[in-house]
Amino acid sequence: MRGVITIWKKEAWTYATSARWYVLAALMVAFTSLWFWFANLQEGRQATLAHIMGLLSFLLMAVTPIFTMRLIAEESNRGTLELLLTSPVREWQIVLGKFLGALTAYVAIFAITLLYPAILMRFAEPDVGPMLAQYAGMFGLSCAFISVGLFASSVTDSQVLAAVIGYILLFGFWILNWIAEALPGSLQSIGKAASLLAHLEKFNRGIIDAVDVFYYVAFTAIFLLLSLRFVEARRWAA
Amino acid sequence: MIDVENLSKSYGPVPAVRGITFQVAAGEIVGFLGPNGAGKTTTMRMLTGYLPPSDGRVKIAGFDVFEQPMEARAEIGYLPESPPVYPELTVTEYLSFVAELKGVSRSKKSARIATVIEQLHLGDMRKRLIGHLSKGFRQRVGLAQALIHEPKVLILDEPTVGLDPAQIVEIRNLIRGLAKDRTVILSTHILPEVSAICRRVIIISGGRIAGEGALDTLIAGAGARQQLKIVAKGPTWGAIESALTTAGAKVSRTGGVEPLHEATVVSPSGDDLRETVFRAAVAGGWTLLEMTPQGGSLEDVFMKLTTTEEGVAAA
Repeated sequence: MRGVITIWKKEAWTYATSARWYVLAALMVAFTSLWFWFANLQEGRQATLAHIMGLLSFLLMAVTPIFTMRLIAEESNRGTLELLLTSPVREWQIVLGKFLGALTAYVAIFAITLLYPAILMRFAEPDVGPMLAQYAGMFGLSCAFISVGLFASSVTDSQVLAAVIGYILLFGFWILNWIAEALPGSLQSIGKAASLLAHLEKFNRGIIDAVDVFYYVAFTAIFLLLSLRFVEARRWAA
Repeated sequence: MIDVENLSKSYGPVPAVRGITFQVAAGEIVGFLGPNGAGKTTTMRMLTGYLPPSDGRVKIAGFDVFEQPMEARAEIGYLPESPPVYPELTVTEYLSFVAELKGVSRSKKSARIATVIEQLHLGDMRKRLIGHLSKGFRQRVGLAQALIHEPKVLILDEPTVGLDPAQIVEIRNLIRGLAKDRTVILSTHILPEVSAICRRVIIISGGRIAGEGALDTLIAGAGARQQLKIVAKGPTWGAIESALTTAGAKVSRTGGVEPLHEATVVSPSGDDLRETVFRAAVAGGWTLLEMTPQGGSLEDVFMKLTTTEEGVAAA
């Protein structure tokens, strides 16, 4: 556990002191607050976070590969992976620590967006339950996105390539929902079951379904395990 | 302290290290010498557990590097060829991270950081970003990182490569100082580095050990010729020449103005000639002003061991 916490702290600190986090956070806050203005703060609108969450999930997909591309690729490039892999920590601790570090940086951005529900609660009487479900959905989506980004960063030494791989994978899982619509019967349900977007729908309607929770947990676990395999494989390739 | 047995590594079909065996006792400082591409870095990486060997085993402080990796790694301080530093961290932040990574306890951490900063003269740099430091300072930060958890074994891969002469001297002095209470193995392709730091040397060539032993023994054992340069003061060159020739040496005059004579004295049998020359001078009544052994340097040994295909098995 010491290894996980050490690397978690280091990653979170690296994000907290890097321009990358501030630029991405500013972008996300700027877009969502504009959208909040148009979608919520006009006469006759509903006091709900559904619109914001729709945009936020899209923005997360757009920025995650850039946010996570450095995680492993950069270590490998700089030779610091050799330090990590010759220290008394296990590979899974490295992978998990890095995942948690990036997740912490995302949670910090979500903390800023708490301003929107705060405003809604000040001027209206929104349902708190759905808002909690929506944030839970956003958290699950972030875990899934980051695990994909981490995986992309673990397969190559090039950060650019890591970002490209990340985009291809995320976009693929994103549009699976639409592709599925065009597929016949059983394939359609498989496609929908694997789609990142389809599982977000209930969260956004304020429902936390065990199936959706399981989906995000399993999705994240699979990509973390894949990342672990690739980090281990780097020893053999070195 | 370091126990390597029949260690091999191939990259695909290409063998990089072919079955090397050696031991390093506690407190020793050993040079791992070889030309570029001889398998030095591969060996260092296997010693630290970074690279899995194709065959053989490594024990550090009694722990098998692959069976008990956590225990073994806790005893190893490792400086790879380029220091594994994060440019966006300050020296103190970095050392704090590595200390935690290596399992230094919370209560000891700040004392350890202060100690290594002091040891490596990094005091003025502690708040600087590593990315802003010169190469020499980065190398020192790399060494500090390797020492932070008080490892029993230090593994240094080409610790002075890319430094300027003043920095090289400084890093060597630091390493010599560090070696007092730990076991050190350092790889290098620079010969003077070995004679400057190490008492024992392992010469590797083409992935095999080409020679091993104390420096003096290696130099003598490799059959380097005994050759002396002398400067003598005497009435005539002829007298000196005949005295030395009678004693069994081959002599040739290389210069000097009467009554000084400079000459090279070679022993055909390879014996030590210094006493012979001295006695000849006493008997002949001439004065010996200078006597310098020549040849038989580490360079000769190195060339001899690394250029022949078979090499010389242990000295």
